[in-house]
Amino acid sequence: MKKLLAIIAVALLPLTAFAHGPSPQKVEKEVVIKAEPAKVWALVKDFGNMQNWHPAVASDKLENKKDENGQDATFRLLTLKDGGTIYEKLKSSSDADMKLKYEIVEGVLPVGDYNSVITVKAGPGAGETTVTWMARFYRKYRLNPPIPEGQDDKSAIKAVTGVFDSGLANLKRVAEGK
Amino acid sequence: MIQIDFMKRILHLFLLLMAGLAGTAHASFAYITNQGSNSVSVIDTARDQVVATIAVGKGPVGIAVSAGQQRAYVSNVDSQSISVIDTQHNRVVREFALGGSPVGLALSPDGKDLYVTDWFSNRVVAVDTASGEQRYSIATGEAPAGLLTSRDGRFLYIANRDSNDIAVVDLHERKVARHIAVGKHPFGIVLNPQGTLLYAVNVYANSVSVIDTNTNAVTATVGVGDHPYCVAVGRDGSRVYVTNTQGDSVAVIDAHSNKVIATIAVGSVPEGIAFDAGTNKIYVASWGDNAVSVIDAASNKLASSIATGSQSRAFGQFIAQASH
Repeated sequence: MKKLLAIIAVALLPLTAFAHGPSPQKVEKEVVIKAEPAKVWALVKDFGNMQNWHPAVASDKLENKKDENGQDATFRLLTLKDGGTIYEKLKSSSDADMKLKYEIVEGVLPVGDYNSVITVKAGPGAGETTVTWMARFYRKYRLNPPIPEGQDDKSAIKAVTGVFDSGLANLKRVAEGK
Repeated sequence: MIQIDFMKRILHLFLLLMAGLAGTAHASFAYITNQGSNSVSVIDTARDQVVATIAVGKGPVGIAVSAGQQRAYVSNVDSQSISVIDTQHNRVVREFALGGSPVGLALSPDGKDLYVTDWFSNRVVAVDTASGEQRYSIATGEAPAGLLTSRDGRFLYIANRDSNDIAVVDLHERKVARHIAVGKHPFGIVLNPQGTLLYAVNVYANSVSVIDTNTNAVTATVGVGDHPYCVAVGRDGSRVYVTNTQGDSVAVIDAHSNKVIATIAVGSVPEGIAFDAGTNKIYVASWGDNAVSVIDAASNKLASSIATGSQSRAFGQFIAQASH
């Protein structure tokens, strides 16, 4: 009986131990800033100067060139304070909607197919602004388990959450002039 | 007196009949998988309200609905299983362990077989819907995603995302009869009501391939929006609707000219899409907004947004179709 139970336990192992999937992950963060929306949007939309508000960014180099489809496009190379780099493509920037969309072409974050949008809105109070930062991405490792350490869903979410939390907190500080 | 009684009965029967018609004409339900909340939201398309929320396995993605069997099947990619929902009582009655990474789902016309694409294992698995038994599996191509059965049930069409082709599986022979090359990263697919045209969405190519199912040849490639994902066809096949996940929009293609005639702004990161014939509306799962956007097909205008669960995907035929 014991032996049988052991066999059953082993047979069931893959179902629990290797839970995985090709699911896109989401991180969405929000901050309320005591500053006018126009002032906050001016900081966010400045694609070539992210170092002005994100504390992890040491420098930001803007580049205009043709993309893979031969269309004119805007890219930026972020050099982080720890030495790593992230190369990003601007997807769209709308003054009317105060919405900026970009994607990561390549970089140090343990993510794949990363697309992100930052939205700036007036409110909830007078003279206040709400900034929402949302990203959709996959973990770095896209194949069957075993998943190499640091390339799973959890690591990807943790890395993006870190970028968003520190960035939004400092955006608030900068915009509020503190 | 007898005559009046008779007339009353006739009238009564007539009213019953009318009530019956009114009750069934628009009674369809959309089953929306919510990846982040491990649930399915059931939307009554006559009222555009969530009438039930059903807990399923982890990371639900794919959906297939059988009106005849009163069943909905859900692929739980993170718990590697299929949840079986009794759509009459809106509750889970079975959960089939599958292994691998189940993503896309499609049913045989008789509802006896459920076909499941196993993303990482590059195969499709035929599951007996009565017993949950895995009857057989067929190697497809790399990263099989969207799939559906031909009208006669003889063939399976499967989008192999990483092989950039559509596999046509002969279910009698139980093997891939041919591969049709399409654009980069095909994901969602759909047949027109006549079964003569197959539409495949190419995520990285920002396009839709149109395939003639008689010749298995690509007859047109239609450019759509950014990172398109899934596709639905309207009542008579004249309109094709495509979700642009990064464009936050739905492209409307005229099936005669194969040109985009409208682009409708919808909720953030639209994924699964289905046409509801009874109400002439299009339902779009918004992964970014945790909602479903509803489009009026007559006007091509956004009609409403319905709050669902976290990260709605609804990948597959999530509204039961009238028999064809």
